[in-house]
Formats: sequence, C-alpha cells, structure tokens
Amino acid sequence: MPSYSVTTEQFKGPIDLLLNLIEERKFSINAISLAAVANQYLDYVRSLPELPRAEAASFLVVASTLLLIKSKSLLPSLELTGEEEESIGDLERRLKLYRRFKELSVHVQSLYGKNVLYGREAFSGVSVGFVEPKGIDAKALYSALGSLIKILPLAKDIPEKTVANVIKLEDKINELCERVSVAVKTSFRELAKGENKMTLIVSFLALLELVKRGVVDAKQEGSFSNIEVLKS
Amino acid sequence: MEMNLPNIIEAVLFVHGESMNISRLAKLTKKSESEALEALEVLGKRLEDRGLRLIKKENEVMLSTAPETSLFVQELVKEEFSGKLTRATLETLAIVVYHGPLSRPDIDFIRGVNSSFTLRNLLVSGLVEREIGPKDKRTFIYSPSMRFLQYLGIPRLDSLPEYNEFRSTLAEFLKQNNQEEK
Repeated sequence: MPSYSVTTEQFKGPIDLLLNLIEERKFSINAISLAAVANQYLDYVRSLPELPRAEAASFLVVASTLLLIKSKSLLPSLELTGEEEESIGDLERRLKLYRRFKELSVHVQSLYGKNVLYGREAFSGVSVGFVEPKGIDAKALYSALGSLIKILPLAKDIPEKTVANVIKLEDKINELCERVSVAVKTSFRELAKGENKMTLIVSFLALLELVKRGVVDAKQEGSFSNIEVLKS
Repeated sequence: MEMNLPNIIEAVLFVHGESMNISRLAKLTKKSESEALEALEVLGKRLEDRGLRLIKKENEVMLSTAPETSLFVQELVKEEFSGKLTRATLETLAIVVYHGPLSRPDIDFIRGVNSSFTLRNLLVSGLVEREIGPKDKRTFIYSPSMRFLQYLGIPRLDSLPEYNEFRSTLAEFLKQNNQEEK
C-alpha cells in the first residue's frame, strides 16, 4: 500500500504540493497565483508513476478546482455557479490554513526535546499490599463467576450461503442464437421455460439484442401474450 | 491544625507520580474542585523558583522536574530519547495541539493526506491521546497528551507560542462557518 512505502517522507499531498508550487514562485495565495501554478500541478500529478490509491481522490478534487480557476482566468466572462465559487474559496482557505500550521509547527519543533520535564513513576517506592474488599465471601465469588459465565459470548453458527451463479448476458445471447438456429421458429416461453426471474430477465434482454442485430424477428399478438421468435 | 491544602496536594502528587485528575484530588482532600484549583494555583506559583513544576492539562495535573534541570535529570534517567520528529509527525502534532481535539478526517482534510499511519505512531509513542467523539460515537477525537507537554517542556498548553491567538481566531472562523451554513 503506497501510504506505507518508504517514500512517505518525500510524498506530497495535494495541498502540500500546491502550497510548495505557490511559495516557490513567492506568490501569495489567491485565484491568480492558483491559475498560474495549475499546469505545474497537473504535470506533477501526471508524472507520478502510480496515483496513490488513498490520496487519489484528494489529488483529483484539487485538480478539478484548479482547472476551474484556470478556465475562469482564461475566460473572464465565464459565469461560475455558487458551488463553484465556493470550491475556489475553499481551496484558498485550505491553503492558508495549511500554511498557518506549517508556521505553528516551527514552535513545536523548536521546543521538542530541548528541556524535557520528568515525572515519577506512579506510586514508585510504595509497596504493593493486598486490601481485602468488604463483603467478599465464597457465595459472592460464586455468583460473580456465574454472572461472568453467562455473559461470555457463545460461538455462533454463522449460516452459510452459496453465492448464486451470475448469468452473463453474452452467454445468454449466444445460447439463444444457437437454439433459434436449430429450431428456426420458437417462442419466448419455450426459450425461457423453467428459468428463475433473474435468468428470465437476462433471456429477454438477450432476445432484444438479437432482434436489434437482425438475427431474429419477434412477433407478439397482444400485450403480455407469448412472443414468437423466428430466425430472420 | 489548619489544613494547608497546597502542601497536601504537593505531597499527594509527589507520591502519586503520574498525572492526577483534579476532581479526584478534590475528593481525596474533601474539598471542592474550585478550592483544589485555587490551591493548585498557589502551589504552581511556589514551585516556580524550585526544581519542580506543576503541569496542567485540562483536568489533569502532575508534578514534574523544572525545565532547567532537564540536562542533569536526563543523565540520571538515561532515557533513550528520540528527539527527532518526522515532517508528517510534526505537522500532525501541530494540528492536534493547536487545533485539537479533532477527528482524523478533520486532520486529513487540513493536511490533504491520510493521517492514519502517523496518528497510530503518535498514539504508540504516547504523544497523542484519543477518546470517543462526544458528538459522533463512531469517530475518535485526538488531543495532545501529558507526555507531549513534558517533551515540549511546557507547563500548560497555552504556554505554546501563539496558542491563545490561534485558538481565538479559530473560534471566530468556526463561528463564521456555522453561521454561513445556517
């Protein structure tokens, strides 16, 4: 799983990446600078040998917002929906928030491990003794054990179920084709005799496909009556 | 003999060693929580030119060594201390301490990456704590641990530079967001 690979250190998430691109060029965070770095961002994402599964969605969402921003910058007359305006605003806010945390993390870094405060181990030097709980006798222990046994989970028999076979439409089409070529004239009822509901539906779809292909002709006298199937 | 609450608390915390809940202290000394808090204030001030300090995080307090003694205590304790934070760990820690308590999805959103691995490491090294979210019982919320304060050498969370400033702008920001959604 890519998230646990050795390259985790160099790995940049979409926000980190975007902020880097902007700061490299010494831009401030706004729609103009985002439009300017959009291409670079997309190039980087394309250059990744494999989009890390866990982060893929994040990268793509940010990419789509950047494309929106870029489009607006190229076509100023482009009207954005309220939701689109919001996405752009959100991205700017996210970048600013992330940048703020990068600033704050410097404080954590500078203090960490410099002057560690030590405590004492809990109750060190205090000898452990046994204090007899009040009201404990053999009867109480016995009933406590009984209650414990009652609440122990029982091994449940998990009902087994075999997964039903999936009927492929293609297979059904081929099957029907063969049967019609043998019988020349048949009916849907014949073809679908004894089938369960699922198979029936697939058979019907297969029939429609064969009609579409011109392999068979279908005739139906009235609504819901049997369908005659003829080889065309 | 009149009860010298700050001294009693000092003694209790000394023997207890690890952090203790203020409500437990109050119960033990048969005083109210506000009295206990007052006594803790007094104790904290008294210790300021001594070799010990009082650390406080939310409802927990503990006695610790003073930061300037750290070098010598470290010699004594010979604790295998890895003072290095990776970039991912540092980022996540900063978010948890300045913005916490918050859930993993919130952290992921800010960083733009999945933080499960990093959070697990932080939990294992005891720098971060988690508990079931009060609003959503299905998610955990993460907050800095007492140990984290110890490693930073600070007696309270708001001793962190810009802590109070950030929390107040955050409160404003969240209030605005909630209003917008309504």
